[in-house]
Amino acid sequence: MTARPVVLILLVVALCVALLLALASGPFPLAVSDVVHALLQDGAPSPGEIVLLRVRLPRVAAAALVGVALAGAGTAYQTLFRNPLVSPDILGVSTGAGLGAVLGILLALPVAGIQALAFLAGLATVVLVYLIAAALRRHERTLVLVLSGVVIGALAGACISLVKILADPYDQLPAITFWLLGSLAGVKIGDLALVAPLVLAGLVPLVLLRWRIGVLALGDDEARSLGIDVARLRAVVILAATLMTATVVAVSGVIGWVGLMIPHIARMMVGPSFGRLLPAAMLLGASFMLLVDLLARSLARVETPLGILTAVLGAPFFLWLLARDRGSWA
Amino acid sequence: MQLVAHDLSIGYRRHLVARDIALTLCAGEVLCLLGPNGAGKTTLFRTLLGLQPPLGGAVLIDDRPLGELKPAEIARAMAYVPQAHVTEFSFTVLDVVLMGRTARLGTFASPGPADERIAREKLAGLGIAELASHDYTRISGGQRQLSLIARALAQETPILVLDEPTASLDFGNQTMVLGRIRELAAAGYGIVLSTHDPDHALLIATRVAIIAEGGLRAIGTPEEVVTADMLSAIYRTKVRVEETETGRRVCVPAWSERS
Repeated sequence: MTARPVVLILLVVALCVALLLALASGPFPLAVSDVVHALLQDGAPSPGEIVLLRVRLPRVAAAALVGVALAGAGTAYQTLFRNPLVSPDILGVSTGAGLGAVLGILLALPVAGIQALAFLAGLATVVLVYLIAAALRRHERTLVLVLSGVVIGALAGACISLVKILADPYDQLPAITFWLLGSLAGVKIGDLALVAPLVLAGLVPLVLLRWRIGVLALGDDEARSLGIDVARLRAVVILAATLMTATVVAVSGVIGWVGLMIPHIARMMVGPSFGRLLPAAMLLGASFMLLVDLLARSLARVETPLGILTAVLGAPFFLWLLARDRGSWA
Repeated sequence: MQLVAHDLSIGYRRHLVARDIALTLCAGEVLCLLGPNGAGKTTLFRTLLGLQPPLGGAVLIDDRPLGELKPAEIARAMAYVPQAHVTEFSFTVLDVVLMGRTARLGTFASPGPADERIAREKLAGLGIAELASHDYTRISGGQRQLSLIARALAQETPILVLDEPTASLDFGNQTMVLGRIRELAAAGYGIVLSTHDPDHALLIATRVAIIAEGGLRAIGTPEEVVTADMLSAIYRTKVRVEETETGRRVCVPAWSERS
């Protein structure tokens, strides 16, 4: 137990290192000392620093936010659904948001319109899934929720395919494909002003209710017999996690694996108790996305889509996880 | 604190499982629930715990129906000990026991040192203090069952509801768990438990209730209720109740023996 604060401190240090690294690296490299200098200085910075920090800082901050949001939402869902194979899009939020964005591209909306449509469609999908599950009123609420999510997600996926067929293959189709693979290349400082408060609005309830959310891991009946209003808490967790995921998906596109993989690694580090797991996963998620985004913009002259990188990193990780001979999940 | 069920009908929306159930549980009593598979023991438990609404009648804690109580209020009156299960995540035993403190905490609070002290006390009281930092998924079934009982005790409720606490335990662990339950009753807890073994009812129950054929078939002292005729009828197999040299009664199958 005494080892846990040490782990958290190490994760904070790792995040700071990742932040500085991400800010310093790029087509116009800066020394880390210059970055620190530019961040801390009140006086007039050099013109180069202004441009770099204005261009790079929003993107770096967005990467960290995306990591925090996806890892936080994934952690909450894995605990809520008592299933370590669950990711933030289990209830269809990413596919729904994807459909919204793809429709926006098809309708040739401006970027802000595409983002708004993605966000609203993501939220609407989860609300639909939730209402369907509530209407079915079966005994196993959690299972019904997951299955409804799978069904609606598959339907939204089919609609995305339809839009792809209808889209202009020279102009819109590449844009759709690129969006569905995730990128932070277009993030502006104005996006952050919207994204940060929405992600925070999702995070705060998860952090405040962390003990109770952890108890949900025991299952609905036990959690209720321990004094938790399960239906209400579940609704709050789903709402919070959906808000965070829909928000970041709207700016970054669909980035898989992060919300699935990061909670696992965090669980190996600090154990499954949600109060310790959540902060660890958030810190780790932020560092991870910073490094993945750094890779995305430095691997080749053309940006590598983030979803490809996270899959390339995530798939072997999961195989390794399966190969470890253990009775339970970390 | 008293747990009362009256005119209780239990079941699911379109499916009545059992009706006209009347029960009372007082401090220090061990009420043992017997019944064949599918008779509705689990449904009755879920209804008594407020996990599903009754189809008719009511379950009352100190004259207040469960439907009017918040989950946290119910959780401060009675604690549920499920069958020993494996969690999906590797919680420590202490983590699991601390979850019993939930109903005593504020909405946004986490357990503090005082809660941890209580949790460790309860583990020590059951003789498993050394398990606190063990991985809950890697201890034995008997130790898991005791951990869950410790969690229920950490809830600090006057009533304990145990769902087949001896299921899937070996003989030694069954005896040990039953012994602990008897001690808890002696310490003043009101205890409801279900079991498939009528001998367990004879060992520790002060009252026995039999759920069969869509209702409460019988309720009373073990001597009145656990009889050869009753057991033969509800389990649909010939059973004899024999007395040992020490005066203890035991149930044995009445096969047509060749001796």
